[in-house]
Amino acid sequence: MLTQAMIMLLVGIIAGLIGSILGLGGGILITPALTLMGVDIKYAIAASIIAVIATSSGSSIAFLKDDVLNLRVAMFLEIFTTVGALIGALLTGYFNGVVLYFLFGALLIFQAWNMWKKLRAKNYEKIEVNHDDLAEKLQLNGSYYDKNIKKYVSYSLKNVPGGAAVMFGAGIASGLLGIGSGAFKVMAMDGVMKMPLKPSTSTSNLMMGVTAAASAVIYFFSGMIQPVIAVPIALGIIVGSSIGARLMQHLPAKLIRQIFIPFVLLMALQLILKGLGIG
Amino acid sequence: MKDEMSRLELIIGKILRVGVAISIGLMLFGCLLLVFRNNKEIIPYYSYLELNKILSGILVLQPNAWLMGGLFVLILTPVIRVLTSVFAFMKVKDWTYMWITSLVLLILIVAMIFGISQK
Repeated sequence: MLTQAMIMLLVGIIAGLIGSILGLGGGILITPALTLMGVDIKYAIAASIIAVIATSSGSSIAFLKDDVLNLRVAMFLEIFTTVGALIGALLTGYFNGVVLYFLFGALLIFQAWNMWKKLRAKNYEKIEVNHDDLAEKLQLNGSYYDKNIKKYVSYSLKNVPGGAAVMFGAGIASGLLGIGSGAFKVMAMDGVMKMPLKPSTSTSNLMMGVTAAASAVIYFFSGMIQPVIAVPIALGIIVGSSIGARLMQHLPAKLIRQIFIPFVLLMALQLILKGLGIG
Repeated sequence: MKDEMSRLELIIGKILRVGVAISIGLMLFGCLLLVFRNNKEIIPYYSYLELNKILSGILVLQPNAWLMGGLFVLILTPVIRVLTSVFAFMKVKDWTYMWITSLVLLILIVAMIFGISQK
């Protein structure tokens, strides 16, 4: 019992570290780790929703203090993720999710390939200057202090509707398939809207908690969340994500991207296997 | 504009910190109660799926009530963050974002009510 709690605490710390650096929920690690430990998949998924919230709140404390994330972008895009998640939840009974597993799996592979291209390109983390009317009207452009290159980086966004559409899709995916959507959030901001990687992953972290909150409440009141599992994981994650949120700001964006690619591919694989009815 | 935004972020960050601290406190105390239970009978966690039961369980030092309370506070942190943001944008008279944030809060509440009624 105590050893099991210790293992979960450790799993939580690792998931919190990785989740906070990459802007992913950590569910990608928690669910498989728990099922390997013999936890029923239902309870594993419920615990991983708690993990997403713990990662989000734990890391956002530091990201807000250091002003890395973009609060306006988070609030504006949250409209689309929350509406998407609600619609996804409504569709659950009427819609076969199998096609979606393949679709979202393919999207993630596409994202990994895009990131790979960015890595291979010269001056890959160059900040583009964009003039997007909508981004200016909604005051979405911002700046942050990069602790790795030790200077302020100002950025401007483009293709806000495209980013909003990806967010909407990510919301539907999380509502319908019960998967985290951190990877899609990073894709919308970093890939579509051309926001630099660090504000993208930290803003994704802040948003994840909100996307997960509604389903977490439902899981909580239906008794799916077992404290014996969720508490050690949550405590571990809060520790890991507090460290990760500070560490991330000192890492080169290139390194974050290199860590990101295998994780996105792993997620894509998980989704496609689910679509095939394996795992 | 930038200064105002960073001030908002600091306020919201503080609220988030308080929420996480309360959640950690409840969970850690629940773990202590589990360790030093003095032969007290432990009521299982699924007896604490209602808020009033959690509260009364906390008062009689039932470990699972404390753990469930801590998890519930943690689940609420993102919601409280959105709620604080509404007032924060209102304070700096950023009406566009006050409405955007209110809309997010409304969708969130609708989703929760829908989910709980579906149970």
